[in-house]
Amino acid sequence: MIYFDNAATTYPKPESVIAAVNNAMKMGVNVGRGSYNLAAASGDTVFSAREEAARQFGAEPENIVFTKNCTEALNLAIKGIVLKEKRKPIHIITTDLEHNSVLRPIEKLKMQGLCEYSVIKTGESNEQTINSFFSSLRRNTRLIVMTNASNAFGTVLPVAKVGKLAKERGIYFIVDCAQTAGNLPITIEKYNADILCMPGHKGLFGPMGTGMMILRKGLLLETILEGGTGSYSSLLTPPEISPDRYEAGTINLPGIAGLREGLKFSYKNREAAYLKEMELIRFLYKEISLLPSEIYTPFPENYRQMPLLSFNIKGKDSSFVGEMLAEENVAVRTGFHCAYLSHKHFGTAGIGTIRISLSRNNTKKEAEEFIYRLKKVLNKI
Amino acid sequence: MVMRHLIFGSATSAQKAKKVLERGGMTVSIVKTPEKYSRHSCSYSIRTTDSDFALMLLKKAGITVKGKY
Repeated sequence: MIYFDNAATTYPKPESVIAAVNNAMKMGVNVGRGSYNLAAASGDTVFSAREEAARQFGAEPENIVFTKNCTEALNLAIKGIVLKEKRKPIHIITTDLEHNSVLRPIEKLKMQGLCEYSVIKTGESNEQTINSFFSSLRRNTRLIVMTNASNAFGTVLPVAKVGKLAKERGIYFIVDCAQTAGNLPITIEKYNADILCMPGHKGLFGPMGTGMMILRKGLLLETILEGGTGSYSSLLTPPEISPDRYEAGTINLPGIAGLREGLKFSYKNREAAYLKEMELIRFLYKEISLLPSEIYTPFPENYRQMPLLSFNIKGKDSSFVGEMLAEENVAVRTGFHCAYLSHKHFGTAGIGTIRISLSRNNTKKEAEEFIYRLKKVLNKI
Repeated sequence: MVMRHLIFGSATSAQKAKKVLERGGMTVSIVKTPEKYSRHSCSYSIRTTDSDFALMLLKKAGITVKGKY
């Protein structure tokens, strides 16, 4: 199989990740509840995962909050900020390239009368995008939430500059790093962020069912899930310490054990891997553009684009082509990729797209073979 | 040698302190704090034979201890 759906989840996972999950299933017990040997060992595993994430993303270990995915992290972050603000409704700014994991929580908060929001149109240049943010600012703007890169089209947005704009005005800044964590160098400081949200199972090569919300030091959010934390048990309110405050209930020890290994794996030769993937996506771009196709983004440039490409075969439904490719044992994603607004931006709202997304597992040989199979499909339809 | 215990609010804060002390060359372990010493119930402590040295290392690392017993 040619697996080109790494923006959904990376596949296959490294052996070290699988081994860590297996080991945690055999030996793991609940964390932060007892102090016997097995509990201590499980606690060490989780803490060392926090340390590894803290090291890579420039945070303190206690500000690494494990979640079940990036969607949960974004919900915790967005709602945690909005609910803590005393004067409501607050104004939120976001972009037209966002995933539903950003747009839906914000829309829900709007329906509850807790916020109003503006969706800025991202420009062809970073300058245009930043100007759009400036012109959307209002007196009650208290939060900016934006994606680091579009999951449907791969466009990388100027998050660090927008973060600086937010910081200068005392506006909270949340970055959705779903498509960039594990591929680009990201830290809280570099992005001028208050919160980074990311899945564990995409660029970080961890198991599905893992994600992280990473907080800047000193930030306290309102909670949206309350329960047992293994600490401060006599209090009926959530403890005011991270990560306990945000990790009520039993955490996913096997997932976190796997994520620790995934973090280590993805960090090795990260930049070289990204640059190799970009070479492959440029090869695919050139080859696909020689076919009767439509590609919606400019020729991929390093750091302006992720190794991800959305295209269509002229006159053919994206899902139909995707099905034909599946018969050729090629894995791609088709449709709207849970990011309908981004399709409106690029003019594909009526038709969706075929999305190719690469990882360091992919090779030039696979890319060549993909083109061969795509041509085979085109000859059939 | 007298065994002393340094109290922390949560398992994670105790873990962080343990790492600091281990990097400083100490051998310590984490235990559940007896409830009579735990202000809000369910806290964790680090057991050590040299609490003065441990406190010095933790102070240097900016880690606050909630109490000791």
